[in-house]
Amino acid sequence: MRANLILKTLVLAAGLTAAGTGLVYAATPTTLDKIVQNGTIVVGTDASIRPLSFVDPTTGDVEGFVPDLVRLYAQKLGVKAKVMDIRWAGLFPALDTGKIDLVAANVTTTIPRTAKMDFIDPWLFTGASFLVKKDSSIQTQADLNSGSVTFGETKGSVYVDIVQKDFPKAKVLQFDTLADYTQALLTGRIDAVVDDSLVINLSALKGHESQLRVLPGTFMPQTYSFAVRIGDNSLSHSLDVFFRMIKLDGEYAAIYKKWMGSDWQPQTVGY
Amino acid sequence: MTFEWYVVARYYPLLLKGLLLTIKFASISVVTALLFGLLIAVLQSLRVPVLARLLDWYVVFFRETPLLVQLYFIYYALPSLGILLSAGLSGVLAITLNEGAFIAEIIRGGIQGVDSGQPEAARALAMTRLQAMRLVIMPQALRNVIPSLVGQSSYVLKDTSLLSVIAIPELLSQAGYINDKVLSPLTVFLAAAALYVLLFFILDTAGSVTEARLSIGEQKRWKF
Repeated sequence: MRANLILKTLVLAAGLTAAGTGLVYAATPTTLDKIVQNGTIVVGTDASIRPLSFVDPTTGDVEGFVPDLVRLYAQKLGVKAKVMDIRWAGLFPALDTGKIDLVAANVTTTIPRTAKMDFIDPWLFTGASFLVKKDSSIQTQADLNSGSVTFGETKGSVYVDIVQKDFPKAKVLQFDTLADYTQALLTGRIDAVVDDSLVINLSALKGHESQLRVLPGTFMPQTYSFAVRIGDNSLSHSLDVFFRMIKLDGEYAAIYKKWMGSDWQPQTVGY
Repeated sequence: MTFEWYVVARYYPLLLKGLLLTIKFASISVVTALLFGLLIAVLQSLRVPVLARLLDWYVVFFRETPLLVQLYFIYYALPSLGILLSAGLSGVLAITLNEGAFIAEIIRGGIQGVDSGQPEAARALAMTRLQAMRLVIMPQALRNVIPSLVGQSSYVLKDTSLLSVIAIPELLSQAGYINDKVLSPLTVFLAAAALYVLLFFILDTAGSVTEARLSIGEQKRWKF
């Protein structure tokens, strides 16, 4: 009797486990499945840099290069894009906890970060430029490695470490936003800024051309990527295919020209 | 998202560097804010005609505007008026002016709480107003407001985290910097919070010791 009961229990347990596995398997749609089923992709972007991503003061909507790319992807996928403005420090937690499906921003591709998020093929190739005051004695990149030079960078930017490595004698201060370091540069609190060339030329320098200047030449190559949660392979693959498609058919070039004001030059580094 | 010990193990030197700077700014600011608040409160209670009105305005203005706004004003706006203060000085100045206003109010409350017979007795003993203030009123007033002053000092300690916005690499800045590297906000900000709590305990202990010392000889009026 007791042996019979144990046997029955075992059979029941095995059956439940099998059913459970089947149920779990069937009930775990991928993030991409959920996006298609819900009809919405929730995207986080750091809307603090014109023209890459910024809040339009007249409409309150997030506009720019990145939102245009995201909306084009959503349109091709047949869903709506919900673009949320989240500052850099909050983007990864929002992705990790599932509040957003995709980080769409100028996230610099670095190897340590690949352990925390899955990167899409870069959406932008660029370089770094140096910004100094017009009347500064700094003329070349070589003048920057000096104890009397203080750099200003945005918090979380890869340039904080790059300055410490390549200009070890200089000091680095970290500011919250691009507007803050520009102000600090204008008032002489800092002597130089190194940042993405596009950001420097299209944003930081804008309106301050009479007081600031950019050093000649670019400094290092730089790639920006979108990112998804680790393991969201179908979504990252879908976005990779999307970027290859729009780079081939001219849609990427059109969006690039709209926001950057110049023609897109394709890069040949294996993508 | 879990607590990742390896992050603490690997980056604790940066956290400690930030902690030291936080201790430095907190201790300087606590002292300057207490002294400044004391000065304001004493001057206020002497009720010198025009000065008293100016001091009232100062207290209202600095209590009713956010410290962050004051900090931004001193750091970013004053340079356009030709006053360029270093980040450290801007920070200490903003915290001192802001917290000084709160501390002045606390001490003023303490002064008013001293029984009116005390200054009368002091005057009867032919003390000047300043003597009465220094020898009779202030010792009693301060003793009664020490718990409030310790509480306000813990605000000063926490205020130093705002210095991260003017590029001072204190504890919160360092935590943010580490988080940008490892993308583990739960770990880094919990670690930073724990260090702030530790500092608060030190401050609180120092306050209790001071209170115990100053209450020697004081009669306990009532007890539960």
